[in-house]
Amino acid sequence: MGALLHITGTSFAHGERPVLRAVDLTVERGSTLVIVGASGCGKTTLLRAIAGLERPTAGTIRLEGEILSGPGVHVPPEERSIGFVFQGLALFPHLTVNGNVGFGLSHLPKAERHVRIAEELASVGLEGLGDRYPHQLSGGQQQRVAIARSLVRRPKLMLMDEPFSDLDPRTRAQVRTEVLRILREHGTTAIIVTHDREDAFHVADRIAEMDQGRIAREAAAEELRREWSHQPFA
Amino acid sequence: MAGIARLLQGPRPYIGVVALLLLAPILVVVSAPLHAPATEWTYVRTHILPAYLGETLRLIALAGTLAIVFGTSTAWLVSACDFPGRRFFRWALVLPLALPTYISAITFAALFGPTGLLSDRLRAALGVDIDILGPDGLAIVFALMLFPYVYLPARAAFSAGMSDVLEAAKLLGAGARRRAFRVAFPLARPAIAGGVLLVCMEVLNDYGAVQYYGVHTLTAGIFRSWGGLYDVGSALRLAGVLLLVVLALALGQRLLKRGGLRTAEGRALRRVRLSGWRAAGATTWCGLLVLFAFALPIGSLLGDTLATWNAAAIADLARPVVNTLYVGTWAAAITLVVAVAFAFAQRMGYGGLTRPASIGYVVPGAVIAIGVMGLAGPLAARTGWVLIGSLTLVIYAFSVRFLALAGQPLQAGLSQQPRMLDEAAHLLGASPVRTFLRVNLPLLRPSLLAAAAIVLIEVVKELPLTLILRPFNFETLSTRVFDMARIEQWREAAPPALLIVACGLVPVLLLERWMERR
Repeated sequence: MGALLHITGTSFAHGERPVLRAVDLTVERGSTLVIVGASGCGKTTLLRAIAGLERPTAGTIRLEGEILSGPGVHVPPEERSIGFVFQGLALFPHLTVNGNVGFGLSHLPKAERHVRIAEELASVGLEGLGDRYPHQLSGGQQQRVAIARSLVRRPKLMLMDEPFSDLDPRTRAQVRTEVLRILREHGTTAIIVTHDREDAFHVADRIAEMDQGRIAREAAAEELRREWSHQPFA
Repeated sequence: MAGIARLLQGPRPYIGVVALLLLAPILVVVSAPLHAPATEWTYVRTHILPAYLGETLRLIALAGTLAIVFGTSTAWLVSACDFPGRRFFRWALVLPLALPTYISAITFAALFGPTGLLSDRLRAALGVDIDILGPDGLAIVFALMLFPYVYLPARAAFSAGMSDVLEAAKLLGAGARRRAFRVAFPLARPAIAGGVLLVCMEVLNDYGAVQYYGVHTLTAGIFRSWGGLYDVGSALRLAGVLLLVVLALALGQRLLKRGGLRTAEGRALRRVRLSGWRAAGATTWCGLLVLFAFALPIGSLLGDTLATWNAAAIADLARPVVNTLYVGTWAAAITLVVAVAFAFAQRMGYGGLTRPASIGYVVPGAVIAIGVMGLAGPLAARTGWVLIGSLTLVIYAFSVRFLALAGQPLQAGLSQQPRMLDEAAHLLGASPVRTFLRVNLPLLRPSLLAAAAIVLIEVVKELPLTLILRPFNFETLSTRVFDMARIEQWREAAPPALLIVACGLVPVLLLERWMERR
């Protein structure tokens, strides 16, 4: 396997307020890391820093050994080969499903682009919905469009911010299984942020717990499940 | 050196050049004493400046005060009271804004001037002489036309967030009058101050009305120095003084804005039902204002239009209509391109460069026009590139003046687009430019239409700038109205004036609907 993402000593502050404090984190290729923690602990900011949407004030972020962020270096998000699924999904409301999924493939010839879009829609179970607009889809379908839109570019790393939080409980379990299947099929390395421990155990290989801008601990999902099952509700 | 190199990176130089181009006429005015010789300045300084400045200040003081009385009283009545016709007056009181000041002023002169239609009748019936032509008459006309600028923000202030405070005042034993004068009006002060500033700006901007009423404002002084004394240098200096007045007013308004109630979203006022003579008084007061400020001028224009309506009159309008649409479309297109580019620049964090260029809208049209002249004169002398009297200059000047106006709906539309969409596009590999073209711009379509329409309508209504910069014999609707009125051909002025008013009604009605929805 080997490490894909290496984060060392990464800090970030909103003005005076520190949000990330010297975060160290490693993600193995092909694995799924889930970051859990209370709201405001810095989970989302960490994802945004990895994606290049925020510029860390200190530390280094490496992908496959290449420095993305570091002293004097900041690769812009559009050049990072990282997929990002926003909590609000951020689907383009004026574009169809095809338009959304094809948005990041503009460098390809038209014919090839259409083939790729069709393949990707099939792999997430959205065949035949390409001409719909986002508002014509259910919450779960929109979620899958957002995932397909990122995966179709074959990113080296997939980041997902609270991907299950806006779904009703029944869809939630279904989408969770689905997302896991899609990630496995593509062999994509992923970091998923959630505040829900149940979500975490369902999809994670490893779990990192964040607290006040730090990684409080990081362990295999199995290990933490055993540990937490002895605790009353946190 | 590294700092300078960084400044010249990316889009900054381009934005900077365009911003400078838009600021140039104003910079020319501000720096006039340094570069523009003024042969008649001694005369202008001693004979024109003091008198014209005094009359300007007196005019805005009187018109502003009356506009506060008209605007605040009606806003309070429709917000806090129930009386017959309240729902109608609530929106009808906005209508006077559809009429450009020079059109109403000319219509009033045709009715109440020394030989006016109604003046004659009143003289015959009652033996009283009425002559509205003069500074005081004009101040009343301005107040009638412009009080909605006070009415709208005051009404908004009364309806949002004030009900708790007023109920507290009631529980403390304050009667209706005390609640209005001691609580509501002082709390609405910032809103009212903002409205009065707009009233003063319109008065300072006007040329058609002051010229017709023989009132000596600074704008009239600019025209006199330029068109009567043929001294652009002196006109530039007067324009500079006028800019100072605008600046002083804006600063004054800032001071008055302090200390008002920070209105949160709140319940509307519980209205008091008026009865008997109070109800009759409220209805009469609002009715009189709508009658004089809107119904009378509109009725008069309609009557005159119908009286002169024939094939020849329609054919006669064709040229000015085509000219107006031609200039308006070009101005709207160019202004829109710049406004979109600036909105994009602002989204990218270059707002500091674009913001100064948006002051054009608070600068009176005559100031911009004379600044453009001051720019084009030396340009022609040095390079032989004669732009004076060309439509290019007119369209350029319109862009300077209306850029901010076009920018507002764009900024509002952009601010409603979540940043997340831009970020999503970046993460999908799109460059900032592609993100703007493929994501931001298509989503901005309604705002683009609104911005284009606003500029087009403003161009249709505009007079002073057009008068100074238009090519020889180039007639627009507004210059036709002005020229006809100047030779007392009121009836011939009515059809083009009516067309302008029809254009002006569109944004006023939309504004009212928009405020209603909020």
